[in-house]
Amino acid sequence: MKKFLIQSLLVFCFFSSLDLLAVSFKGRIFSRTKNKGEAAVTVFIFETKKGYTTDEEGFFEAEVPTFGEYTFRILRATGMQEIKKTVSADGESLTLFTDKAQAPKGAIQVDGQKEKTILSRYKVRYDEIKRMPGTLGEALNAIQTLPGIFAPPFFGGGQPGGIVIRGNNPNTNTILYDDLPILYAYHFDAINSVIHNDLIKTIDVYTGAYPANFANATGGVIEIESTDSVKKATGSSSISLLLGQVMYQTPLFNGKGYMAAGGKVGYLDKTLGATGLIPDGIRLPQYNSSNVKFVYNFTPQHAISFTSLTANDNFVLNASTKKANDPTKDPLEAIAGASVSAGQGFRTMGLRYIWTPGSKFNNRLTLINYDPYNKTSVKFGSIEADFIARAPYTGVRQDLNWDATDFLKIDFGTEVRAFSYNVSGYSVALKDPNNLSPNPYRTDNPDFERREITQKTQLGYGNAYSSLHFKFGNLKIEPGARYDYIDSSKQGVFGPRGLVSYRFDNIGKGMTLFSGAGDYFRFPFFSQQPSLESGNPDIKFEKATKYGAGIDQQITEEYSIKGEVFKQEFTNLIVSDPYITEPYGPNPDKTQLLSKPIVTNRALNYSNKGNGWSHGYELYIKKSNRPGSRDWFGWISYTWSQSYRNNNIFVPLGDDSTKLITATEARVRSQYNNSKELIYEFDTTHLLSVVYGWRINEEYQIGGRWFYRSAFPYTPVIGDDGGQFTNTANGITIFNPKYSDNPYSGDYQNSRRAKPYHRLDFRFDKFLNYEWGYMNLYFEVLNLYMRENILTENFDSTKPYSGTNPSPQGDFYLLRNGGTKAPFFNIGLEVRF
Amino acid sequence: MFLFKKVLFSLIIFLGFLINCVPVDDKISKEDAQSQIYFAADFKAKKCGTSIPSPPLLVFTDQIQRNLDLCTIAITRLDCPFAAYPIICLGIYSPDAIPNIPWYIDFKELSNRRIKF
Repeated sequence: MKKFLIQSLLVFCFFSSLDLLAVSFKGRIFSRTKNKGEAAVTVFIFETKKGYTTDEEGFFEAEVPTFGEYTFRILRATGMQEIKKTVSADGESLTLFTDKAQAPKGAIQVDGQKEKTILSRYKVRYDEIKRMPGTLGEALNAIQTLPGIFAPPFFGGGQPGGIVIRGNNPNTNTILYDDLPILYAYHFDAINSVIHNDLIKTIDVYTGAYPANFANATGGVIEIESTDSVKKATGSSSISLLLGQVMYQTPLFNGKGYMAAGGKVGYLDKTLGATGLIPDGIRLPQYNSSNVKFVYNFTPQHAISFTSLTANDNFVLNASTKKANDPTKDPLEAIAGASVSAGQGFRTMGLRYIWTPGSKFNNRLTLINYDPYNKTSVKFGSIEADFIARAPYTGVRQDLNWDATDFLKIDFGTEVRAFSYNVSGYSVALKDPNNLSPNPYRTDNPDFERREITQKTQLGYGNAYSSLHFKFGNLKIEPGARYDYIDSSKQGVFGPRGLVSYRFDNIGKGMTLFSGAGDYFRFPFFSQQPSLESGNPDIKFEKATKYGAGIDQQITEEYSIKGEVFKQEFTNLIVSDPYITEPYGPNPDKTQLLSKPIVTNRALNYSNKGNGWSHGYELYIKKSNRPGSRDWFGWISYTWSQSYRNNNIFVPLGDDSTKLITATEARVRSQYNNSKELIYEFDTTHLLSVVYGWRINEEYQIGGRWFYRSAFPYTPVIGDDGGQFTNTANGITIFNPKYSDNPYSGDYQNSRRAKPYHRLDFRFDKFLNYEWGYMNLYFEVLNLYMRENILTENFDSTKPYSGTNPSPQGDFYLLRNGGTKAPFFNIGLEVRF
Repeated sequence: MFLFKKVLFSLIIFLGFLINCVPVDDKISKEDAQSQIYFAADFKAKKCGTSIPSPPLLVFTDQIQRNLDLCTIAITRLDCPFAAYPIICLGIYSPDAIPNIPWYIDFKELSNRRIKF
């Protein structure tokens, strides 16, 4: 407590340093177009009523009574110009720019942006989200304040770092950076993204029916647009407890091109890992990522760009077999002897040629090389896996936009890819995918089986799409269609989609009614599911049919409100299927390659039997500000939704689950569907965010965010197995949790939820402005009122089931130290020049 | 005005710290503690083929988690027969947390030192 008081006092002293003396500074009046200082002009500071004259270089020296914002009036023969600027340090140099830089001759100027769909799309600007509270300095985290979007918190409540859109599995989303693929959005720490903050211009999230130019998502599409112009050389660097990042961008070739590059390095293992708070044997995630973009405009008609994106993550755990003398001090006791080494990454390179022969036609040709990988090595009881998987592809993509007539615009695109799916090693799988509590220490009849997955498969993929945008007055009709084809399984899917909207100009500042629907598909390219060796080569595309309708009311220039209802129906969902077989197939056991190369009733492990649906409504009230202005901004977003799934796989009940069955019996079972439609594990009934941000002056910015959501559903533990097995590494009895196998029980799968999750976050920014740039010191408090949010329940397998086991698993954003608790906080420093 | 803002924001931060560093009660309720001990004893009794020693170990107050965990872990790891409770279970009647177990004391041996009520 005393330590906190001292820290608080230091912070207090820092922010309230009183100014007893006058502040002197050096000012400069500078013209960007002339690229030089303005000589012999009179500068009058309105608040002090004092005037100064600039020298030959445009400099002047002045004095003000205290730090703060002042009005500088520049008096010329042609008139007066008024500029407001903040004096924030004694002896500082202030540059007053009197004009904006002009684009160099020959450069392509983009004055407008491509019109995007109004249906199920939410856009955020970088300046709105960069300093949002509760994001720990990561701009991408801010998208979860938009309707229907939620990113599970740090290491809990679903897969870390995934983005749940309208109750869908994060794996069913497509994430694009300048239309280029990225394997994952977040690093292993689940907080920091693989894209540098300063290289993001806007983020569009398509939560429902999306346009035909996007593909392979039955969930949503996250489209990140990078910086598209660099006027002057700038850079930034920042450090925090989690990571360090740098960025540099500069115009090139006399303004005809530019280069922007950024990188991140995570060093959690060196900071948090060195505190002694992390148990021995855990090496926290290490990661790095880089983003590079290079653009060159040959002429206004011809331009090229090159983009490179990389990310690498890894994590290691080696749980010691040595018993701790005090058993309460050994958090890894249950998994003693386990070793896990996991790594993933990707490299994306895109070379793009943009042809703009006129204002009505634009074509982009992109050569893409994408190489995602996954390395896994696990040894934990009967779980053993060791493999490296890669799924690189090289593709060519073409996207055309043509304003054919006054009332018709056409988008058309095609793409071909040459895929290669290469895996080396072996993996592990559950023998029975219906088994909710597999025991890795079971020795008599192991719950896991090893699968040989070494393979090298080539496949071709192609697609074509077109969207027509008809506009008759205020009525817009936008039909579109898309066709995707995979040559290995010779399957093609056709996805029609369309949008109708009408705008009433005279209601407020404009009201738009809109409605749309479409068929959308997804294929698991980087997965064992369609594998010839370990999966089902006849696996089909998953399908989603999406409907949406709503109203968008622009109340004033600043205030708007948008409401939308939606429904999604899912079919052909890929599920683990223990019954599906093919009459003959290659023996999955490679040790019998010569003696028994072909087996009968070969298990295919996966089928397209799953289906499901979700529906709900969203409300989004927004108060915008002009980019760069000091006005406050904020929004309220609310979503109500329900999401259900049914895997349509026979579930053995009661004694049936332990019986050994013949192949014929299994075939009969596979035809009989007794599974129940269940609440989906990513279902989040209520989602509410309230966001507020205010740039008070050039020195300070504050922001707040309140976030509320229903807890994820989970399956309650109803008992244990009586401690039948032991961890052979340390001889400790392992209690395996037991779950209800009765579909009509109130304890069945996903039947429980913890209490709702909510928290208030606050962020305070102080800027120190200099002639060379600025420094941004920020202080962020998460979970200000210290809500004890529960993510799920956690079963400790070293103890029997009881009133204290399982126990609630708390949120990361509440710090506990002995008998006290405090909110999570983060301090950071950004330097921008 | 500028000075006022600075002081105001500094105060917000300062108060934020003061208000938000608060003591918490991490004790386990006596009902939950009784349940934890019962299930541990039940497991050991079944494993040893005996009944739970009588009188049962009763919990009268809310428990410090460390004391409770040491008791139940000791019960689950003691050798059969299960006729008495480990001596470390006396910790559940102590208002203070059991200190760290020094390296020269073997927890297994400690678990097998028992007390019969």
